[in-house]
Amino acid sequence: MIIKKLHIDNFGKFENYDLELDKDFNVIYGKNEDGKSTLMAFILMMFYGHKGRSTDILKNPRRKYTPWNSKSMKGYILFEYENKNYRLERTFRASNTTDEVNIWNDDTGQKIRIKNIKEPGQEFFGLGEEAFSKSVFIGQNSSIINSDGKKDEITQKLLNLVTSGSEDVSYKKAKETLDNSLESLISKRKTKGLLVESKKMLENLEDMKVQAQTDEEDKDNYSKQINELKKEKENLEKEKSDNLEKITIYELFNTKKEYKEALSRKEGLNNLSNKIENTEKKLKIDTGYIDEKFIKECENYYGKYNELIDRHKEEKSRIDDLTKEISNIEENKPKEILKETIEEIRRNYIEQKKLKKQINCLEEKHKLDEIESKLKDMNTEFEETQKAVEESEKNYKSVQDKKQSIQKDINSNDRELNRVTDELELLNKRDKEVKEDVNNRIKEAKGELEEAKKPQEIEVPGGWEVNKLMLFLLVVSAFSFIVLGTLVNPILFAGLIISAILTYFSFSKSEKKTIVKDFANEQLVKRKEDKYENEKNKGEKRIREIGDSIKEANGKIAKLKDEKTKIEDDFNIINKNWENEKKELEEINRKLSDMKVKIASLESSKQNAKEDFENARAELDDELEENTDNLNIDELTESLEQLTGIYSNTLKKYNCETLDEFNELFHEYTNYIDSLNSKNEELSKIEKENEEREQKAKRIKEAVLRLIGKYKKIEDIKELEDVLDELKIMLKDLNNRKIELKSDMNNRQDIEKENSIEEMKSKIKDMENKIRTIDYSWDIDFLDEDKLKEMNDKLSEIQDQISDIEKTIASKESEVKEKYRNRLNVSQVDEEIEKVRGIIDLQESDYEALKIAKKTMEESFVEIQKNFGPMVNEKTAYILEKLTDGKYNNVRIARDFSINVEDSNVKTLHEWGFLSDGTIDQAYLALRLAVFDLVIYKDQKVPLFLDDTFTQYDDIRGYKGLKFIKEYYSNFDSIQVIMFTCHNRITRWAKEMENVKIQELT
Amino acid sequence: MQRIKVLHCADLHLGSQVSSIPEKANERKNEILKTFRNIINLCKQESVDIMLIAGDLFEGANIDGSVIDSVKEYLRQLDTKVFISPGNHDYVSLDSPYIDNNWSENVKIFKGEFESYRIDEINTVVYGAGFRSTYVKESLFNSQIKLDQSMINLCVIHGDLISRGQESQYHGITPFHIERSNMDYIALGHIHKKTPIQKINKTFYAYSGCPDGRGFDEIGIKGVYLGEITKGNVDLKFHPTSSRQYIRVNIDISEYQSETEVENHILDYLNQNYGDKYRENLYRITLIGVIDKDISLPIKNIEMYLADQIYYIKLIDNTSYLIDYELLSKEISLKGIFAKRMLEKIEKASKEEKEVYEKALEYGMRSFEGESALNDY
Repeated sequence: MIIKKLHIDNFGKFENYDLELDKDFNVIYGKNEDGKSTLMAFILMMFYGHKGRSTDILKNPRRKYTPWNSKSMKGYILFEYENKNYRLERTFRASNTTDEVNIWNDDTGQKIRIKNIKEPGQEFFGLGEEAFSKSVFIGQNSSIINSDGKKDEITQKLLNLVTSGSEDVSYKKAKETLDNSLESLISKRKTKGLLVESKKMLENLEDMKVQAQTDEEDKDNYSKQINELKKEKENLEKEKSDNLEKITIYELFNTKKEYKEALSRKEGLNNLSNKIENTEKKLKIDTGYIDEKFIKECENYYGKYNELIDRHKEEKSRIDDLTKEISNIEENKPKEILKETIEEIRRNYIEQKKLKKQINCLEEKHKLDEIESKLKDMNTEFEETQKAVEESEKNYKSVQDKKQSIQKDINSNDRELNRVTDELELLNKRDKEVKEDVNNRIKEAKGELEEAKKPQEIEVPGGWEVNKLMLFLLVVSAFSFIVLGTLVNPILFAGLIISAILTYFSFSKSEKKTIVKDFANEQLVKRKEDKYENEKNKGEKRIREIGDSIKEANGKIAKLKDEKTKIEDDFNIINKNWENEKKELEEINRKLSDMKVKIASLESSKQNAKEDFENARAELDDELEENTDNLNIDELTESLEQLTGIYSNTLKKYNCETLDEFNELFHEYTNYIDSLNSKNEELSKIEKENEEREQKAKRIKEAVLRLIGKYKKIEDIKELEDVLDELKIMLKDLNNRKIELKSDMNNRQDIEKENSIEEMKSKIKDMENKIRTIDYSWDIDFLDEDKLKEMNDKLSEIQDQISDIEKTIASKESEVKEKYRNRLNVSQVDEEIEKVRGIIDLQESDYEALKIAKKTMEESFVEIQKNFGPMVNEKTAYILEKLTDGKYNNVRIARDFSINVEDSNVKTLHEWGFLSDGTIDQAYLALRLAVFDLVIYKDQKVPLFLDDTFTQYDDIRGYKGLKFIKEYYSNFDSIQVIMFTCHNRITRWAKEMENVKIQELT
Repeated sequence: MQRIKVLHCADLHLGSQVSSIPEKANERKNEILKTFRNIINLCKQESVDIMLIAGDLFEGANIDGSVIDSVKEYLRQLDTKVFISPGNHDYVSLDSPYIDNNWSENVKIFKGEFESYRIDEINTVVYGAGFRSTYVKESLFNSQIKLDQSMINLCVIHGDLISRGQESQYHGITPFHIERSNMDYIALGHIHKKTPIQKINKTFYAYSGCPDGRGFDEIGIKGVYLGEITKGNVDLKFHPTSSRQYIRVNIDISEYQSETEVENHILDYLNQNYGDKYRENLYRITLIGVIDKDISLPIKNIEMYLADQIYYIKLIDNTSYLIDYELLSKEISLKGIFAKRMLEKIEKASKEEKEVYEKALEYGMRSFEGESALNDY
């Protein structure tokens, strides 16, 4: 088969592209990215399409090579096959199924039909897609084995090539996978694995089934045991019911006996109650029954009646006594005084007393009035005297004033006289002094004048010494004042001022001295003459003046002595006047004080009189008190006399001296009346009471007779006692019977209680009838209570046995429930067994299938080794020898899958791992070409595609390789070689060779 | 003519551990008890005269006491007369709940020999017998008994329908037994799959199947028979009672290449085939079809994704590679030779063996890809 031409309408980057190929050796040069792999993909996909529908662009070439111009992906290939030309057209769509593929016989133009039109490669190459791409395409396989680590990969590929004929298929891996699966079912030692476990499980289940069956049999045995127990129980139940029958008969006899006894008891009881009934009938009265109370009541009445009768008798004798006593009192009756009489005499007595008081009061008033009028007169006189005293005092005072004034004048005159006399004395003294002074002065002035008239020289020196000591003292004193001022008192600072002033004076004095200058003598004389003259004049004047004053004083003294005589005469006259006035005043005052004493005595008398009157008035009654003023003493005295007359007449009538006596007499009479009355009252009261008592006794008697009459009529109350005794005896009997009845009633048994006599009788009859009908063969005394007890014991014994059996049954039942509670039953185990068996079947079938697969795999391997191995070896050796220039001539795969290369010179094997990369590449190529040969070994001739196979080769090896391939495949007819390369050297070497078509991709 | 209303059910296996899907076991156990309660309610609603329970009401004598108490309690509420014929699972034994004496008056249990209860008010006699051991090899029918043909004669019994000459450990019942019984209707239990109402001579009979599934061996809609019976005519209809269905199905996924495509296809398929409530069922799905060996589908992931939306789902991968074995067998390579040899062996294999050999071919091809072909068991 030869590919002649490729035409690409649109595929990947190619658009309307043509490539014509030579039938022998083609070199297609293009740089990377120029589209070499696109062309190879185009060829592959034209013949095989692509099955995957992956959405991953790298995994799906339909997507990867979608035309860049987005036109429909299509093209055609012209090829020669078995001497015929064909044209394969394909339009790519989403999948092989939808792709449009047409093949024509290009010679005839006929459309060709083939088995799988979508994958024409199968027909024309005789290979599936996988085989085609794995054997016909030889790529730059060793490009990735530069690093040592990748050697494994190529080793694996080589190994795969040798063992499976395909570098991607590993016999070893496939076999391992199958082995693993097999072992997962059954391990090598046959102890583990799913199938082994399933079988173990099945065995367990079989064991469990045996157990379950045993359980079931056990349960069945238990069932049988329980059934036997139940039978035993039934027998016991039968025995029990026999016993019960006997006991029933026993009980019948005993019951009858008991009934009879009860009947006689009940009849006795009836008799007793009949007797009680009869007695009660006798004792019946209209209000109920006679009882203890009734009797007591009768006795009570009777007792009261007797008591009343006895008392009645006693009281009658007391009445007789009282009547006697009254007639005794009446015999000693005193003189009668009427009540009016005594009252009148008492009133008379009180009236007398009143009148006496009124009179007394009036008399006291008269006395008082007299004193008061005397006192009034005395007071008037007193007032007049007082006025006279005042007048006299006035006169006295005026005279005394005059006397004092004259006394004053005398005193003043005396003082003036003394003063003037003293003055005169002083003047006389002075006159003497002045005359002496004047004479001295004139004498001095006359001396000075005479001195001046004498000529004189005077020198005056200036000087400072005088002042030095004083200044020192002043400084000391000033300092002292400062110290003192500071320490003691600031006032002492004033001392400073004083010092200062003194300082000044000390200086000025000394200055003056310095100023004084001497004068001429004439001047001085003149001045002394003036002074002398002056002194003479002045002295004369002074002496004159004093002489005048002495004269004046003497005149005054004479005058004063005249005045004194006159005044002393006036004083003597007035003094006499004063003494008269004084005597008069003293007399009047004496008279006034006498009057004061008298007035005081009268006031005292008035007080006494007033008290007496007030006392008398207080004795009076209130109404009289007010009318005091209107009373007249004489009228009152007359009334009093009248009363006194009546009073004494009355007393005389009863032979009484005083009112007290009369009163006593009256009391005696009233006592007598009272005593009589009280006795009479007592008598009538007792009589009345006794009368009532008698009536009451009568009523009680009637009542008791009526009461007892309910039982029995009696006429005489004396019969009562007998009747009551009779009743008491009856009642006692009745009570005794009742107690007896009650006790009998309490002692009744159920039979009597529940049945009437008739019922009992009928029941006894029934029982007798029943006993008559019972057909029993036992020879038993049915009234023997021991026998009955024995039977009952037997019965309970049977009952015990029954309940024992029941317990046994129950315990066995619960034992079974407990024992098999958690055990599977046979059916459950059967179901499990069935399930496990199903799994085992499946696992066994899988196991079988895996075994077959494994066996076939091994057979296939043997076949490929046997039939194709030697051929591959031979070819490989041949090609390797050519490629290596005879250095290596064989590649061997050992049983342990190690690869060795044989050195042709020394005939030794080199282990793969120790070869150089270049040699490995050569060995690999040799193997690939050998496998390719195997593929084309059959009828089909297939083009060989090489994709930069020599990339890793050095120049020498590369050239040799190219040359070898060129020559080697020239020897095969119709083996077309299409080599893609991006290496210039390949093109260069190819150009040197014949029959090589070199094309560049553009 | 006397008409009676009858409900026939069997094989509830109450108290069973429902161990086929451990993670749902407890829930399913309770749901099955609930289903029984629903049946009780159905009796009330439909005023059923007679309820026939044809055995295996309980999983065994070893179940929870609470389940037994519930059953007694539910039945006590009924006016319906209930007849129970114990089966191989709940045969009458010392530890059986049937020997308890606190069953309500309306419940009659056939504890062994063939016997009958006469219900004059509705002119009906109910016959039956009970298993007293796992295996019953002799017939429980008693041909000596003369039926009163003026009455409606019903029979409730557990057993295995077999043909003449066959044998069964589980009370084999042959057409001969049915014919000779002269019953009007025989309510059968034991087989979990319902049969139609069948008839031999004058006698109608049927298996009601179980009312609720407990595993993938009890697939589809389950229920009871309910309807009227008159003398000589049986008008019972199947009434679904199962809370959920167990479903086994093969789904071809040849057309789908990706995980989500396969998931969506499965959901669509289930929705179309099992209705709106399809998510509530339990599925065991076998994936079939051919897939490209270059596409590897993560079956476990798909299963987990679906399990989130569906009550229970289990996927079994039974797909095969898309390979042209004819072409492959021509290849001079290990694969080619293996394929060639396997095809030869399949060709030679007997009918029964063929399946195993085909499986071997598939396993072999998968082994080249390093894939273990085994599914979970």
